[in-house]
Amino acid sequence: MKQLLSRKIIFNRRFASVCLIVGLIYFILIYFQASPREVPGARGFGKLTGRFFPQLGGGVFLLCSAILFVQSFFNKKFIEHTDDPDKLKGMLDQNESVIGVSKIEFITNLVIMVVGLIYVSVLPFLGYLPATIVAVFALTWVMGNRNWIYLFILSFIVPFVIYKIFISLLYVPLPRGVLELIGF
Amino acid sequence: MLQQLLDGLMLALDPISLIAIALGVLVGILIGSIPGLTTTMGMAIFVPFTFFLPPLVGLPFLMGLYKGGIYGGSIPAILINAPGTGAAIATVFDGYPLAQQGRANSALKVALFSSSIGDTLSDIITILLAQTVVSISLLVGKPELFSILICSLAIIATMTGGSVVKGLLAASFGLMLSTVGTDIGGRWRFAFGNSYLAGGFSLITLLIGLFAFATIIERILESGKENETHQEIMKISKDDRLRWSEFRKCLPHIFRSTGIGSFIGLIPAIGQPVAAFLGYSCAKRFSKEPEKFGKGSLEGVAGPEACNNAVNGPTLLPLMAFGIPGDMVTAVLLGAFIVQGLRPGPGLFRNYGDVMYGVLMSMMVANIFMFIFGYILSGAYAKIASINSKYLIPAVFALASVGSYSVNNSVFDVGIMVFFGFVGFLLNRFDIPMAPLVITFLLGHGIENSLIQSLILFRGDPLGFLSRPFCFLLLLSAVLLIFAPGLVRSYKKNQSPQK
Repeated sequence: MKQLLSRKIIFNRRFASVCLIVGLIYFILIYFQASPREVPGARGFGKLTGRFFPQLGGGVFLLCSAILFVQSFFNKKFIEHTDDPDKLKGMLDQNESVIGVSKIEFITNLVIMVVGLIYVSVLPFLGYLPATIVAVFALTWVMGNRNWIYLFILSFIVPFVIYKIFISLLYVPLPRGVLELIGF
Repeated sequence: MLQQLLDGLMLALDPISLIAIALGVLVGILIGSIPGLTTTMGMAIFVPFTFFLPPLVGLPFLMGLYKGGIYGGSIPAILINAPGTGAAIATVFDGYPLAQQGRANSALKVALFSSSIGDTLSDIITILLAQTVVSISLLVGKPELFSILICSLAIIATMTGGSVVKGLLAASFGLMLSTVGTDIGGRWRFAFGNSYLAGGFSLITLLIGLFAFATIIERILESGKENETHQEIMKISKDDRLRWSEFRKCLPHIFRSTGIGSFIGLIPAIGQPVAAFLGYSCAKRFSKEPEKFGKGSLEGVAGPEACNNAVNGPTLLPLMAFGIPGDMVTAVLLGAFIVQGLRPGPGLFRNYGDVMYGVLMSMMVANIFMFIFGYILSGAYAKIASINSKYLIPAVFALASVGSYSVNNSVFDVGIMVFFGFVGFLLNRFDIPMAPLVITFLLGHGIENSLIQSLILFRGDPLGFLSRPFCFLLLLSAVLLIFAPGLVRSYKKNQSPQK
């Protein structure tokens, strides 16, 4: 239990550190991306600019991140000096089975993110149907499905049906890409 | 008034109006049940059709679509952990675990019964209040609205997560996300010169990313493990029947949530998602088995479903009386009203009383169709539940990508959806509650507008809020909600060594 909690605390500290960095970047960006001009009707009240609300939200975010960061050190101390299993269990929050992200999971995530970005990049040129057929085929394969009938149904039929529903019934102009060249 | 009601009923029972309502409900349920296809999007697509129809055909069709869509959102929330609409976010918490336990059918039935009862009762309230609501709505000024929003956020941030700090962290992150787009003065903010970002992040893109794409990532990671869980998404038992004793336990929550939802509906800008969370929180608080919440409780489905549907009727009152849309769907409705020549305002009932009561009565008729279609089609929904996640997840991906694209017809939104998928995955892994994030993101603009307008009203002095008793009480409640758990804990800590 103590080992599990220590791991959770380390992950929480890392998460709080990331949040602190995100909060600080956000605060810096406020001065480049938010207007310092007062909102209409607020002349003379000084602070009511386009930066006012982001500063408020970002401030609460930074404060909470800092509390979480500091809390992790106190929790670590608490764990080292406590042997009461009930008190220790109480620190596990709601989701005790999933704690943080392992290295393999992190790498897998990065791979999924890169694949996702490739999908988004090729979508306008390749079109929704071809790009989604490839993506769904890859996803079905990665998830361990090697049955060719299912692979065909999921990769070809499902995107095609969705495509037709959106194009013909809902009139959503999905990107046609290469299909436009062949008049589909 | 009784004569106007009868006239309205006769207009709503016209065969063409009936067909329009039935079609609207059916389309609404189908749209709501497909993740990524939102009621807002569905209504926006169909609004142009109503331009060429008489008001009592076009508007009842949209009303049916609205109601069917809000109910339909609960179907994917229960079956595939992806809320079809923002209103169904809270239904995920217990609906999905119930489906995992093979009780999807019961969860769907509870959602249908709760939605129908909540919707019908709230419609009765709406019809009764229609004439007098003007005087009530006039009492809610910008400072009061800001206080109500802050109090709601405090409830959500403190009730939905294990840690108040994590709840507030999620809420403030939601506020940060809501600042992307344009500020109150109409100037670009955090847009980085990108016209897509200037419109801000779309709520639906955010929801699809946080709920659907994050689930896809989780399933991919699970599929790589040796102890892969098969059919984890949905498991249907043929013996799954909703018992009367189970439903009876839900009834108090349905009636309570109907009251909460109807009240929330009266206040502009809060809408179904907040109501659903409040309904969920209250159901948990008053339940005899609160420990079951989050793990698969029928009461946890009944509370938010009755509450979000109970908003549908009363949310039209501020729209009809002042032209203030309660949410995005009513904003689309507002456009339809204006095109039909029905300009909202105090004169609407005076000048177009028969049409307006016809529209209101058509909402009641829509509930009957919603119940019938929901009951008949539930077998078809349940069949989806028996599909192995292996087969469903790729289809979810195809729907998620097309859904996020169709929000603004932009590939940029698909990229944003992928990004929020990773954010959702990380937040899940670090026990950060998602609800405060989503709700503050949704209310961010409303909070900013009401805060700044209130401060202008108080000539820049924030203490002005304390001079208004209603604001003072609500803000005090918010502060207590945030700090009370910590104070109670430290008090108990100080007491225990003395013993």
